[in-house]
Amino acid sequence: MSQANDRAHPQNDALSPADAVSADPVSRRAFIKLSAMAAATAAAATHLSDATAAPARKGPAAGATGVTWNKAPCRFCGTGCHVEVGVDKSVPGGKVVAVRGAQKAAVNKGLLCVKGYHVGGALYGRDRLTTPMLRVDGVLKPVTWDKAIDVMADRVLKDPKGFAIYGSGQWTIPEGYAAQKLIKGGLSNNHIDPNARLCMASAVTGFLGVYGVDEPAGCYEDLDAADVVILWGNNPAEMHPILFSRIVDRRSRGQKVELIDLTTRRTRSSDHADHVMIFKPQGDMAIANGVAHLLLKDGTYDKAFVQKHLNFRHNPDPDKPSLFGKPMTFEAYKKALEPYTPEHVEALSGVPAAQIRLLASRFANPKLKITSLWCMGMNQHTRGTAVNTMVHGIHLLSGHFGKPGDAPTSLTGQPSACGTAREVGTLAHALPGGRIVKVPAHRAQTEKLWNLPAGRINPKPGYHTVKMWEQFTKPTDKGGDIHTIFVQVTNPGQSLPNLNHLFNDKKDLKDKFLIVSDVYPTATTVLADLVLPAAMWVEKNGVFGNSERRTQQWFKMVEPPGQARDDCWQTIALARRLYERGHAGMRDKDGKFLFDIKDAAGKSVPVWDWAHYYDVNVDKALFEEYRGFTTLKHKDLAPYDEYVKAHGLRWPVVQTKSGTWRETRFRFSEFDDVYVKKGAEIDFYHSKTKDGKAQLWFHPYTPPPELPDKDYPMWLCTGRVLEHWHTGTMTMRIPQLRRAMPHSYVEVHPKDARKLGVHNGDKVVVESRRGAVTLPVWIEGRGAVVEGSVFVPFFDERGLINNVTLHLFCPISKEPDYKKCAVRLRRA
Amino acid sequence: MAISGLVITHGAPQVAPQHGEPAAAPTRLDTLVAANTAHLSAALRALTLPTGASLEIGEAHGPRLPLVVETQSRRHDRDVFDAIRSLPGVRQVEVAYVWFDDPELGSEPQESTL
Repeated sequence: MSQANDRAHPQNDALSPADAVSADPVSRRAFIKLSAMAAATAAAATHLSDATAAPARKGPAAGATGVTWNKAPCRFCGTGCHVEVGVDKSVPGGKVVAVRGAQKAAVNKGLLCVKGYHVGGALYGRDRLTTPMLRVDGVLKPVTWDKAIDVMADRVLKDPKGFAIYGSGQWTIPEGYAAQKLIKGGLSNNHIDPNARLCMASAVTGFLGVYGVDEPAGCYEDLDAADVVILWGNNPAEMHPILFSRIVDRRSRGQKVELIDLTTRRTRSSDHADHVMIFKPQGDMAIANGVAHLLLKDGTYDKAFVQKHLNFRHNPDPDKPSLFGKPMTFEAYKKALEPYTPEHVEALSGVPAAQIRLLASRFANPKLKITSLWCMGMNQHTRGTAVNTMVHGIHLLSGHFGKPGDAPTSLTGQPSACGTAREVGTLAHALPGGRIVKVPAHRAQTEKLWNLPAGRINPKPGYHTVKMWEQFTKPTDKGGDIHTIFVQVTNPGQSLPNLNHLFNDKKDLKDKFLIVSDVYPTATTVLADLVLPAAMWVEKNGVFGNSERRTQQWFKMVEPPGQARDDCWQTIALARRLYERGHAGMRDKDGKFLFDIKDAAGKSVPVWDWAHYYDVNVDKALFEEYRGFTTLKHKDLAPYDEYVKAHGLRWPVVQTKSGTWRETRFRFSEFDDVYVKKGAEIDFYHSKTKDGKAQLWFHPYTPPPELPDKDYPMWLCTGRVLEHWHTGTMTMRIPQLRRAMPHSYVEVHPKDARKLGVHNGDKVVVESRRGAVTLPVWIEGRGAVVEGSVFVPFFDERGLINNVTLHLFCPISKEPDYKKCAVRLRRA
Repeated sequence: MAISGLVITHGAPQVAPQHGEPAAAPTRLDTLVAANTAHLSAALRALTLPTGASLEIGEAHGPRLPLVVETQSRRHDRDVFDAIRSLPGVRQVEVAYVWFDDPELGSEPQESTL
């Protein structure tokens, strides 16, 4: 029996008993078809938007053996759909052979999107990395794990201050936590940042700036109650299809859900929208101000809500913006918004004044429930923090907050951008549980929980993503003080902006060293000096945290291929090697190893030795340690074993008097959040002004950092497509998805195509001041761009659009803008 | 062999009340949904499927129709999915189950293109 099967969790009692498949091909086929129909019928009978429990799946009776089922969250986006994974145990090490939507999972109630449907196939690309490889004389050659760990330790010990970890919103919570502890509690340099910096950092700073604490107050149930859903540069029909299905589902039942799509190009979401409002790049700032202006001018804002729950803030010096700014009066706020008449907003944004009035009229109507959704369209923005706070602001100003259906909600693109990057705090300035390195009390709390000597944690924030890669690709003698980056679970060679500035120069810098742990060869491994084969998804234990504060756990189900190993093990093995070689930071204040993990009898387990890694549940041990942080900012998590029983729980998860654990759906609202003061109704209990009030911000419209001109006359927007997930590392290896969308393209308006004299499929060069890429033209492709602009998805490693994009970022969140820069097109 | 359990959501009845208007009579909604289901079922049966493929329609639940698609090859699985999605009146196609233990999987061009 395989190691995975030895340690498999007992059959989850939520699953159907009909979980076995006959070896006889005819009855096997009939059985599978019956199971498929049972699953589809049960899913059809369930409404995604219905809060009641899903009906039981009535599948064929159990009989034969061969396939076992267990739960896991989907590996792809931040929605957090739960799948049930069918594993054929007759294959050595186990093999994933089937996937079905988890019927009892509240997020997806038995349904999956086309990517989730194929998630199992992501494990079985033919070119899985299976052995560590070290670059020698320019060629990657196999080495042992022992050698690989030694090389890594050498790189750290060369100069611990210059060793960085670049991680991911795909890190599991224990993986991120281990990396965080190694860097901040062990190496004390704070040089750790996740790729989530590139997709949702502005959402974080938006939440912090307004509420004093990160992450959405509402949850997906808002979509079931909203009368109006507003998409702010968001395309959930392709990026979060199961969430979008909740809206489609309600409409299919005759419910009125008005969909307003604020966008710079028509998308599949636009096809369902009642109102499509096409705005010029950066016009979202003007639109938000226009709505606020009308609410104030017409007196339709919620006066009682404003009086009771809000303060007003701004950044008086736009050249020195800060996260918390300065206070301003309501009168000053009102005056600042006076210029933003619908006509002025039309001039700035391109959205007709009548549509601005329509949008404002929805916020002005207190009888409606309004949910706003956004993702990278609003976050990847040089004014990302500002525009996030502005959208929160119009919800707060109009009182559309704190009731089911009334919510400003950001979505995430990665499965644990919230759980790991945001909550574990794997950002260069952060510590777990909403702590930050700059605050002495926070460092002291962390040192206490980690049993570190006082002063171990460095008060200086490490390098954020763009800075980290700048310092890595800058020659050492010119101040490039990052000599080694250890990349886990991400592909910066494709996803960083302006690759010619932040990544490609690495190839000529012989003293810089790139370590990459991944499951497949990528655009990043091309320049790697050491490549580590990683286990993925159900080849390891894991815990993710999704977009609605839901923490989700799963167990290892199959063995990884070859010598592929867990990322968490890699981190602990490196720490242990450093410990053995005398690095003082790898010891706590009692001289014990930082990752001293004990078994049930209290005996230390040598988990740094792969042979013993699964002797104990390392995830559980790290999670329980991490839990100590989560109560510090009311992000309370339940014990690990509670997540084993559930399809996720939304924090804060609090223990009731009867001993059960209760999740929270609507934060800051008295009816659901136990931390709200009795009688307060709404209580922003992490208010920066310490008065239970949120901050309502004024920000002036500012133009984009780069505008089209005579040399580069067109706008470029980049993004994603339904079939592929981010850089395509996994989905391009799933034949069905690859066939459906085999290569990247540039979406061109018909008039621009005519001007260029190009037709569908013709190759053009998309060129900016930073770089160029050659791509086939798709006239009005999947979406429809406006004249003078083009769209390019970033999933295809053969056409790296990030050679073209801009690396300028929001001054507060440090998140770059991938959504707008100036380019030109020419025939290839 | 590829077997999928799908859920189709078909045309939203355009009888939904505007804000503040009284709800439409349920009988009218039911009638429209039933008519849409019948229309969609006929369209599904009329689909030209790849050789050896079959399609089994389950019992509708309102505007949601379960069905099982079986193709001889994964090569055709996605084609059928796309054909269903492009049928008139189909709003959404979701997946509830997929069996993808497919010997063909290993023969696809899956490796890096770098």
